[in-house]
Amino acid sequence: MGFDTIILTQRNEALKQGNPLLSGTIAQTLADESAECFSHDDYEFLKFHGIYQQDDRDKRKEGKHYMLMVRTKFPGGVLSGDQYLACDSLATEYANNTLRITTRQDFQFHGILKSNIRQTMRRLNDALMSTIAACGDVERNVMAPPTPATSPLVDEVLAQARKLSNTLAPRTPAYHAIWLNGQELNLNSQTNGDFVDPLYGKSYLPRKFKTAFVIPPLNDIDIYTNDLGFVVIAENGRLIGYNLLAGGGLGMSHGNTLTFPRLADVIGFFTPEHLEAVAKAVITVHRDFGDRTNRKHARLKYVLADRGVDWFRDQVEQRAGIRLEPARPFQFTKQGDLLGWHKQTNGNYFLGLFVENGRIRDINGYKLKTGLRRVIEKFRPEVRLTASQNLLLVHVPPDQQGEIERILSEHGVSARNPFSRTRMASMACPALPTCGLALAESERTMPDLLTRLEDVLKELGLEDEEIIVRMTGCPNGCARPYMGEIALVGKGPNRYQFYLGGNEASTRLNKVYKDMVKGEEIIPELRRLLERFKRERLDGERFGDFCVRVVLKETTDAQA
Amino acid sequence: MFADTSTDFNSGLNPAELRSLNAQFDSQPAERILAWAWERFAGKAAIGTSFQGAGLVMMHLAKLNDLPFSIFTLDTGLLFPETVALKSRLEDFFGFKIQSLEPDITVDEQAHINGPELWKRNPDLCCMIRKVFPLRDKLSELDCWITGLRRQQSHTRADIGVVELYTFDEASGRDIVKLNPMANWTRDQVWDYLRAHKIPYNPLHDRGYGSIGCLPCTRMTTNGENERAGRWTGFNKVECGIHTFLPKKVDFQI
Repeated sequence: MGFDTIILTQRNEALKQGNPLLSGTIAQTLADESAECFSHDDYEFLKFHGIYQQDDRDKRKEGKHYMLMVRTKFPGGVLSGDQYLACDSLATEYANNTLRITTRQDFQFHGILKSNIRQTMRRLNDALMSTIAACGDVERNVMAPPTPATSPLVDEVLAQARKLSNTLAPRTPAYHAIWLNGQELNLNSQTNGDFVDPLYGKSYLPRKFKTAFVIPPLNDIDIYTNDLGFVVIAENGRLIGYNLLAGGGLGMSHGNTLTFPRLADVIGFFTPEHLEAVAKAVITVHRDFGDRTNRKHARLKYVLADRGVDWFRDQVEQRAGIRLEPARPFQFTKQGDLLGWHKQTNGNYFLGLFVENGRIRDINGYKLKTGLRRVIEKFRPEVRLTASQNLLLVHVPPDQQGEIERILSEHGVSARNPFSRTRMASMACPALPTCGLALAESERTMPDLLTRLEDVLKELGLEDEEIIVRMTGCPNGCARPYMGEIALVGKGPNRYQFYLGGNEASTRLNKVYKDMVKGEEIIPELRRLLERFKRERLDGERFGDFCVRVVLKETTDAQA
Repeated sequence: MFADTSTDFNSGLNPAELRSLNAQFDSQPAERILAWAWERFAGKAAIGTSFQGAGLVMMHLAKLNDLPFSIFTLDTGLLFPETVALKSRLEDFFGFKIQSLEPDITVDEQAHINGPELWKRNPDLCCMIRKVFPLRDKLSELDCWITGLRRQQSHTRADIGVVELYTFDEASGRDIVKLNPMANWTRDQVWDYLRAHKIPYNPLHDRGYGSIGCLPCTRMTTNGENERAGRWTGFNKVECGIHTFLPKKVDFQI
């Protein structure tokens, strides 16, 4: 493994340094209609443009059927009704007729052919949406609480998040040149040849970088899993500053003890005017100290783990030119979204709709995609995507509520979200057949797994419990598995690592309970645990807390 | 780090006993070690073998000393035809059955999921699917896994103990004893024994193969090369993973 990793690392670092414009030969390959796919090098550059080259793994036996995945970048998960409709059309015309809400408040389009990619990108940009830095070794989508719930604070934070996202975007002109103007960049011209990004330098970051804002007590964006987190501190509904969190991140590699999921550390408090300086300080610490010799060990979290919080705080203070105050107290009570109808401060309403695994599509009797399209065509509400892969229709005047419900129900969609609490708290990553990293099934198998879990819960009289279940096809952590009360992480075909012990507020990592469990063993294993939970739980105790108190405690004792 | 008085070891072995057993076994003949395993674990112990020399010697010693261990092998579906044929020859020779452990998915199904010839792109994953998963299922029934590992085979095996204790399942704290009765044997000793007792062996050894694994990932070795040099050539890989996937519960090297 060591050998491979080093070769790969040098390759990624050499690619970035050799072409800080990140243009590669993308424009040339686009122009060459006979080329069915992009080169290995362009694969890496495309990520910075928000594009992954994938292939249909259901067809791999016959050969590689190349296709592209495009990820948008929506700071705070906000898009206008018109933008939503543009995405909906693109999904129908060029992708697999589904829109997938990601766990970082973006849309993903899957299955786009190379011949349609430029048109897709152009139309997204025409509707004032971007995909630049949605992937790649840069600061990616800045997340913020999407729920326009109860205070003006939310709008203020959202505005900060959007502003910060712009500030931190890479400055390469390649994106516009390639996708919007359809031009190659002349690398021989001096402006292009000498290009150095003002923030990222010539080599960008050692690895991806994730930023988020959160407003306690709702941990709806899962703040501890981010490289950089801003916890809003308010007094009397007024923003007075942020607690800085840094060094969170979930991805790991099986069998590689250098890698592990990690929660962010609380670094200190600062006042709002220093936001940009602090963000840049944290990013440049990663830029300058992240491990560029090993991509698997390159996230900011390993810098924190290796050098400690005090060293890190010093670095941030020096770079931002401020002193951080001791962090202010804050507390989270729960993760997840407010679903159903809720009143906003301005007298309007928002509707939170549960979207299973974030997949907006039409299936028999449940035409969510068409239903949403009809509603949004008619009323043009603002749309917000959540970190739990749900969708909110916001700023809805009271007199539109009835009609929205009616249109949705015509398409089999109920505004009352008639799903179990456990299903609504659960997520799975896309995995097979589109993701090249997947080791096992995830999104395709999760709904059925949950149905069987619901049956067990019902049998045991536990159907009103909320249990956060997460499933991913590989250990990289897209559905944030290591925060779940129950999590299944793919290890090979039909084999999973089985985790227990996350909590309601998403402030605690779970732990491996069993390894290499077969798909069909999951439900029997859960049944044994849930029977025990029913017998031995404390009053009101959640399953994840029970697992930590009883099941994992036994483990720890046995290991002591 | 580990209290010597700990009683939380389902194998019944604690670190103190493990240490004294290793001291004792290091100078004892393999049949004595096997006899100890049968006395201690009986049907909860089994010999795993890929029919390299040391495994064959152990089978013979078990037979000779009336130690009716069950024997299992990993049939990856990618073995040499010679290896597959050897299994039947050994069953005839010894008069007992050898259990074949098969992967969850066929080579064809694997091609469908992971693309053709996974071993060329990601041999670790291929070994995981075709060897480690089925082995782990088997080990879940056992308290003692007997292997033919020898210290002389490679640098990764130079420090093995005769008795080792591994954590099988971190959650339950369940552990498993790994017994390497052949640890001290040299290659020459193994081959002298096989010839002396006319035990059937893999004919590929006579054609220049040192260590024999799956067909696509095994090549011939030349004189002077390490015994396992012909495995996964071109990848920085010398172990398939079955001897490295479990964490050691007690490590005397620390």
